[in-house]
Amino acid sequence: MKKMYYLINHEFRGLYRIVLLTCVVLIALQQFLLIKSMDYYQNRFERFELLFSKSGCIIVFLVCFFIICGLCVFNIYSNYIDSKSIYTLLTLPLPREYIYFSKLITYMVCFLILLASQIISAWTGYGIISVFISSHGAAENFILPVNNGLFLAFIRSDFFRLILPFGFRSFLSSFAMITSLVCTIYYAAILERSKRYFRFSVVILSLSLIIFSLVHRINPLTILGLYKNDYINALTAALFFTTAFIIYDSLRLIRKSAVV
Amino acid sequence: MDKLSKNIFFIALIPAVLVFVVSYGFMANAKDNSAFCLNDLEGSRDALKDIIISGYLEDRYHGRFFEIKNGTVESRFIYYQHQNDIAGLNSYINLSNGLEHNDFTFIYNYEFEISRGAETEEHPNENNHNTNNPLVRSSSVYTDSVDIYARITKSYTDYTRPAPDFSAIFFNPGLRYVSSSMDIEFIKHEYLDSAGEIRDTTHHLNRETFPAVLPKMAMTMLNDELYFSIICTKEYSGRNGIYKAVNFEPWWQNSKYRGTVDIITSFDLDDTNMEVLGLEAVKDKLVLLLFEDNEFKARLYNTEGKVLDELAFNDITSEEGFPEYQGFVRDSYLNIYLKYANENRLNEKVILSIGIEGESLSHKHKVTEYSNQEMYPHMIASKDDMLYVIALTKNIEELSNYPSQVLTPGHLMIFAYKTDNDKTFLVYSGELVTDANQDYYRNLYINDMSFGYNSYDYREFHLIDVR
Repeated sequence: MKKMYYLINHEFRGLYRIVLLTCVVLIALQQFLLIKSMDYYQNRFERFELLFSKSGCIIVFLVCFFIICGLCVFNIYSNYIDSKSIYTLLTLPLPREYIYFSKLITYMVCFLILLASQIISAWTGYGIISVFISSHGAAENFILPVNNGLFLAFIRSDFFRLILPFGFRSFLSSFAMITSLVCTIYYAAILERSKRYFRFSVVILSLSLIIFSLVHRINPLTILGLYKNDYINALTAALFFTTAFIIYDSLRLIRKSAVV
Repeated sequence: MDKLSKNIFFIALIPAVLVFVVSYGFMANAKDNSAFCLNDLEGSRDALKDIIISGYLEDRYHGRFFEIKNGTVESRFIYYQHQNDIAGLNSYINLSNGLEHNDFTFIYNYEFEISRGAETEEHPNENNHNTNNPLVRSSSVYTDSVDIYARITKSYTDYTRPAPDFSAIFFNPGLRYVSSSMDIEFIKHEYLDSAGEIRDTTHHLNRETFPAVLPKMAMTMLNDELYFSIICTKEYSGRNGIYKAVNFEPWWQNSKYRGTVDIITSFDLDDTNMEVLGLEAVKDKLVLLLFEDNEFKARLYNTEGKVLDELAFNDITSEEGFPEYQGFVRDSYLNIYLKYANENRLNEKVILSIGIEGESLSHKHKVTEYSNQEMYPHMIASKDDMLYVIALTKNIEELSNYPSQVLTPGHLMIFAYKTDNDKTFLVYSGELVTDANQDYYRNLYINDMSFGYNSYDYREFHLIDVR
């Protein structure tokens, strides 16, 4: 396990600066957007979760999210260019599964840090907005900030419900989505390196399941008569099965040195 | 420094995990961080000891289920993960122009036609051609007599079903409105073919010129069958009655009198001074609520249309206007809330409880209250000599200060009345005080037109029940 831990640290050392920078940018930019949104007077009476999405904070998060995705892809391919460090890694006296899992765990933690930064940003943003509104006076008969406003934002925002689910089924679904995404990104790179192009159908399947899960997590509460059937458990199970296959196939390809 | 570098993974991982742990801890603590208590205003809380009041305060994301047992409020938080979790969505929905029953929704509407043989005056419109279309000619037709036809459509409540069932009943009850002057306008459209010959003609009532309150419909389900009557004031003539929808036919069958309706009973409105207010099914009987010669009556019918009993309330009249009505059927009780729209009686509310035992009606409770609080009852229930009313109340004067009555702050009130020697008096009133419904406030300052569209974005009381 020591070797594994060493490998994880080695991988993480190459990424953490950019990840931390992305997180700082995320927090700073979101606070700026939230404060800026206060210029529009009516926003001062808006619910925090709606203010958060209206001010563009979710777009900032998505940009940062894709930066981390890109960072993972870049990290995989950096082993194949210039130094060709993949050869060094594969010839190390340790099981090849360690190489796979060290990268996977590193990428998972990068996403975890980003998600944690998003939660920190929501906390600080809510604090700033509350202080701003309280100090700028409010209309008569107007109680602000609403009691339990941050909790309500976490509960009532489709975005925060994905990041910080408060129900067991939702938690499993979110966990399955993020795990599947990380494994799929890595698997796509492994398939490309090993020239197994037909198996990209599994990548497409996995990404489709993630999208279906996202749609199903957001829409069943819109009360339009649609999405009456609850497929979320089936989708989560399908995601776990697909992810298990992806991990199994990735390990098989790495063991066969097909990725070189 | 070297040690830090060798453990950079853990140094980054631990704070990230801690953020989640702290956030979940905060949420677990905050979920019950709202006031939810019963504030006694009048009388003793002992009046509630025989009943359990329950309900939900919810939006589409979360709910708080509460129960008032032995005068103590208990509540718990529920996190919704699918629309099937939303309590209010899975209950009976009282539609403004219809009702839902089992898998079906029944919606009514009326069609208005110029009575056959009625006098008419036609005035071609200045711009004779509708929307400058030379093939459509429009004019105004004035008349003093209008025939009213009822249509009830039946469709699956879940409109996403692969095989939707749209069927309808189109029915002529014989109801007519006769005005004293030729002031009812119909917009007439004549559709011409290319040779200038009239191909089709349509008449549409200009509702603004209709001098009376347009009719509504009272619908009720008994043994999974739809019974209905037409709610209309004494200005109407012709016939009204109690009807049973026997057979709905697919709406595309282009028959004027489609579907089958059984007439359970029928009244001649020309011979009697009768105004129908509502129809309710209690046990296996029908209760027709009406004003006859301005006097309020509840009349018990069996499903064959035989009058079994009648109860009259000579102090409830329609002389100063037709009241709005809301009925709550619990076991063998029909509890009624009557509210007048008339300006002189705006503060007057009448709550009635009628018992149905076998083939007879009995007067259980009657409360007439005068207050400046507008009342929106969630539940009215009777038990022995007690009457319980759970209602949202809003100050009438305050209503005009807000853009709509929905936005006006309300209070969930619990009233308990006791009847002794035929007199009903208040023994308890209390308010369920909570700060977990502060969603109204944002709409006072934001012109959010979606409010009426999806009220489930805002926390409201639903499914309030008394057991």
